[in-house]
Amino acid sequence: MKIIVIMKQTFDTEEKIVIENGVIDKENVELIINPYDEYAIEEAVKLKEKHGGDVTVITVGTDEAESALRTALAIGVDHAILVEMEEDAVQLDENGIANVLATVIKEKEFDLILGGNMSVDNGASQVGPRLAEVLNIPHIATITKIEVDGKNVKAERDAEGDVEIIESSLPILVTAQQGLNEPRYPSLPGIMKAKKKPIQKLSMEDLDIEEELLQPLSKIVECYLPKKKPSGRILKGDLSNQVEELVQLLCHEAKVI
Amino acid sequence: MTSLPQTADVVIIGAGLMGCSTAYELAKRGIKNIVVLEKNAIGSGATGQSSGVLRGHYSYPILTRMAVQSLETFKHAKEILGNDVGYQPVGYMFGVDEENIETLKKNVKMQQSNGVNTRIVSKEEVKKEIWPQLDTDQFGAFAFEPEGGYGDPVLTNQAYADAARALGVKIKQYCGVHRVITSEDGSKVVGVETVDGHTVFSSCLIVAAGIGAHHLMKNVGVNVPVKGQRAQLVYISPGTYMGRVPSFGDFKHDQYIKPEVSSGHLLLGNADHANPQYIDPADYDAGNYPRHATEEAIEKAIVKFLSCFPTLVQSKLISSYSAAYEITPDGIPFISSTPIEGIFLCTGFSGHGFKITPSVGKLTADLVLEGKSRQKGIDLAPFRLTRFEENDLLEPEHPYTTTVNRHV
Repeated sequence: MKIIVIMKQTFDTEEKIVIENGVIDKENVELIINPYDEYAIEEAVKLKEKHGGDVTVITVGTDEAESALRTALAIGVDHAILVEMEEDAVQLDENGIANVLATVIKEKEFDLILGGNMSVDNGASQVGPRLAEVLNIPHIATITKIEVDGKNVKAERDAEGDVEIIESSLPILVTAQQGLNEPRYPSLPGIMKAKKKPIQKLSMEDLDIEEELLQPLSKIVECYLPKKKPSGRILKGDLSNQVEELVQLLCHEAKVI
Repeated sequence: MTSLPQTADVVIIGAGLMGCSTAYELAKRGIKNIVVLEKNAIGSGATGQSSGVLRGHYSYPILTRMAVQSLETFKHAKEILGNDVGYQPVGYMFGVDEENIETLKKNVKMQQSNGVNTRIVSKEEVKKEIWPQLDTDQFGAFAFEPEGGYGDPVLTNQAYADAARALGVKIKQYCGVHRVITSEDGSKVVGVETVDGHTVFSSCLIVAAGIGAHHLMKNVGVNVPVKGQRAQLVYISPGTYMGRVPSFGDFKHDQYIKPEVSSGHLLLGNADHANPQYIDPADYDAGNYPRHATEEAIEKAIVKFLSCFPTLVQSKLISSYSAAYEITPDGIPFISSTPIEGIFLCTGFSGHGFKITPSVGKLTADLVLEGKSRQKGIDLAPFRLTRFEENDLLEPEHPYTTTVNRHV
């Protein structure tokens, strides 16, 4: 089975986000594989172990993204492709990224494409479904289980608390939800071997995509941190006084009653 | 929360291990009205980043004696401090290359004469009894301390803080010190001003603020040469159950390994300080330094580990992080008076403070109350601030040739 994983490098979820002039400050920040993409990588490697074949991971990013690709290789992915972009190049939105990925993937043989159901930074959940549209293949989003039997695919998806069971066939694109699997840690010898594996690098010039396909369809209007939660207040006194004070506060201070 | 008094008999800046153990010792000796000011939470600085290794193995007799004295507190923390400190006597093993066999023997002898339970162990014994997966052939010789191992720095810190509070010490967290206030002529300490504008008057101030000591003292005209050094650490799973293995100082490869009994994981630390990465004290104060290990550092740690344990091919990378140690030019701390009357330093532990914490608390209390050490065989002179200008540095009795790590 030929499997492709689409991956994004994101901030470590434990990083403190600093916004300066409407832009997120990247200095001193640890970059990791988007956690949902980690599920996709793990599932791809598991399917390969079960059915044979190979796994190719593709990312669009700066040269910093090479470390995420190396981690994927250490986990058990066979090939890695980096579509390299300059830091200050035109920012692609989900539409642009999907078209870049489609241009690379169209040239390849594949049975299954896996991705995360969203990235933890922008959280748009669009690249996977958009890519499936461009490639004109079916897709199932937010899966928590997948079985492949010949050409047949059976998946369970998380439908906001319910489980939907969906049957389809290869080729297909699926996006991973938490619960799909437990990603493995890379082995130390695997990390060392991954250092020596080649990474195929493509530039935007190599791909020669029509300008029109890269035009952003959405735009980030503003970027801000959630408001700091004000500290709570503990009311004192006997119960009836506390209730009275609470009602007063809800009416006049919080103005919710 | 404890409210801030206007005056105090002693103010301590920093509620890490050193600040809290000093506060505890002073309170135990009858000093009332001690206030500890901490800019974050207890143990949130260098203490929280410590690997917690316990060993008596030093090439400096004085540090060996401090470690021996301190081990008693780690062993009997429950009786002495009233709380457990996570002491795990898994043993401490020290390995050197061929070139350092004689030095190791001399150091072990020196350590034994200073009360360390240690001995030279043969490669066969290591292979059979201590760590079967270790490729002992590449080492020259080993020493083993059965009572070494590790402790929990955060639990130790909390135990000291609780014990100090029980004796009346006030510890104020999230209360940074903006500046030290001195008399008009700058000769004496008057007090401190906190970040939120409160003043605490005191004629006695102990600066146990780690790297923060640098700018606090610079503002009153005293140069304290401490800076931050990035320490990169890697957590791995050996991929197989190894049983009880010791903390290991590997001076063949300049690394140290600390086991974790609860998880079976190993912490890999770098002891090769040939190309240190420094962190500017101002950046450190602003929290502006990397918290993750670089790929290069992780790779180095893996290569060293796999070369020691070539059969552990199932070992896995769990996580990595980057800490900041406060280091002095000679790797020896400052437990010292300063040119300003009433200001004392207790900082610069250079990544090896945890194991000597109990002793440091006693010594700092001695220094503040009596101006000299009351601890047998432990002179305060090597820790004085002026040692650099006087060109009188503490030298190891039997220095290892392989290491650039001065503080072993």
